Amino acid sequence: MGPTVTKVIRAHRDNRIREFRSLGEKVVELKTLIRVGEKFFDGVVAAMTARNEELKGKREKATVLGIEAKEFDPLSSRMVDLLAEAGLLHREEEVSHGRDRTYRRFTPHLAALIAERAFSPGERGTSLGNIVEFIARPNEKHPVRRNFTTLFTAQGINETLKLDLPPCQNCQTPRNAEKQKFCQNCGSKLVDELIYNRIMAMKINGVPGLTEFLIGKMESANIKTVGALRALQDPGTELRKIHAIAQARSDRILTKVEDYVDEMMS
Amino acid sequence: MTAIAIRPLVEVQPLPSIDTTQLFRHTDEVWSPIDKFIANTNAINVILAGATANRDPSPELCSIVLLGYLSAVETYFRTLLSRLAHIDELTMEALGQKQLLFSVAMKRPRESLAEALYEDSFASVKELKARLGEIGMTKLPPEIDAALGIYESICHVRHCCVHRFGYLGNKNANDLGMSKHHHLIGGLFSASTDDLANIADALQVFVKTCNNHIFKFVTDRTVVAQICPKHDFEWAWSWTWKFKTDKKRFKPYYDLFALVVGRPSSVVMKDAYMQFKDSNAAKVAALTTRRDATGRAPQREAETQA
Repeated sequence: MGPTVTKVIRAHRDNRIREFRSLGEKVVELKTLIRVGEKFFDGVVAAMTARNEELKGKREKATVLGIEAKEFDPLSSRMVDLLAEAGLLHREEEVSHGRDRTYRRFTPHLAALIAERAFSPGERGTSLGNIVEFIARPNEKHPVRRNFTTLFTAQGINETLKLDLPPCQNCQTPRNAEKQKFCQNCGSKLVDELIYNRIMAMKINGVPGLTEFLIGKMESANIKTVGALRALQDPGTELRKIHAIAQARSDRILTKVEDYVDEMMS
Repeated sequence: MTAIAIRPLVEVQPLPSIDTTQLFRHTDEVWSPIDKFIANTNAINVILAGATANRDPSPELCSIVLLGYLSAVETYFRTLLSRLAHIDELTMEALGQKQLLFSVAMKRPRESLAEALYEDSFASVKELKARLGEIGMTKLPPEIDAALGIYESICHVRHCCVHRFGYLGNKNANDLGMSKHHHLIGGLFSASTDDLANIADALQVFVKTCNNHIFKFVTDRTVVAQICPKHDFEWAWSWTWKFKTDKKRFKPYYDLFALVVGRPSSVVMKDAYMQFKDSNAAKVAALTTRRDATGRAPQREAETQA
């Protein structure tokens, strides 16, 4: 009985991960976020497993990870959002650990935790009864707190998060190589990596047609570059979370930025 | 005595027969020359991108690609000028003295006779200037002049690719500047993907610049020529400066010069017409005043008003 159940659980986890990877195939700009995201997720699971090992003799379990809110930038937020979208991470409510110390909390998919034996600490075989018993324990009070740097280092991630080069502007075919000059499908000239990176790094306050007011609002929400805005999963919704920005203003911002990007790329 | 079979120095196979009638197929594209130019260049780019995903192109590929790019440029000028000759009366007039092959005149439809006027190469600045001069563009705007130098160098490199398998020859080195190129004579043309991309860009900028200027030149000159017609040229129509009526006169020019399939595509015809109208408004006013002052109102103008 035991091995069959674990097999099913593993298969379920693998399916989730496959779905997560497929996001990177659909939107090529997200490739790096997906690649790093998967390793990051492994790191989260490893952190939970390690913590549960420590809790073996106690009456509690650990399933929640906490990362300080101020550590998030648009790219790491997007990476975590993508993991949530694929069902690998579940967002819990933020908690405050004192002034200016807010933690964003996530629970990794239990299938991944079970598959990595997070609930079978110290055991050699897999006893379903013990796993169920372990899961029945209440969560410990605090989340397992980590920061991106330690998680990344532990997983041997040494690349910085970035948006990958966009597909062909003309026919939407993804690129074969980073240094590619022309689309292999339609032959159109592709926007150069240097130029693309320069466009993504451009300050929001340099976008023509945006008022001081709008720029200030966006900067206060930590959207300081064109790349930061484009890294958001749903830029419109994110913009409308900012006070005094509703449909009309968010539309105006997005149009101005997209026009600017189009102009720079052509 | 048996005949001694003499083996030739180099073994030769039988000569295959080649039927040139089987080598071409009809295409019925009605693209503007500039659209076709972009499409042709892109077709070459596809080959280049496919062969150079992870490495620089081989010298042979460089040669073929460069050849392809320039062939696209030549085709652009050839189709543009030959189609222009059929829609623009002043071009038609200017080319009046040119000669055609009798066989062409007999076999080809009237609407495509001008194609036979452009059999020669466009792959040199001298030729290109001569062809533009024939239609009346004797003085080129500074933007075209500025790009001509680069065009000329690319043409010289092309010469090596077509006739010398990419090896730089003495004459080409001389044309490119002997002091800078003498030590490269006999060297093989081997560009990086970046170099080829730059060449493609340069040619594209050059062709687009020419396209815009030739468009402006031929449309603007109709305005002047209608107000102050030459003694022997009879105009059957004139600009009314109302889009509704001018549309059918403006459309052939627009269709010939506009980028429709390629991106970013040209402004729509009405906008292009308004720009044409606005940029000529002052000239029309000035010329009309001057003409009226000198009292040389041509007869046709009077008829139109009547």
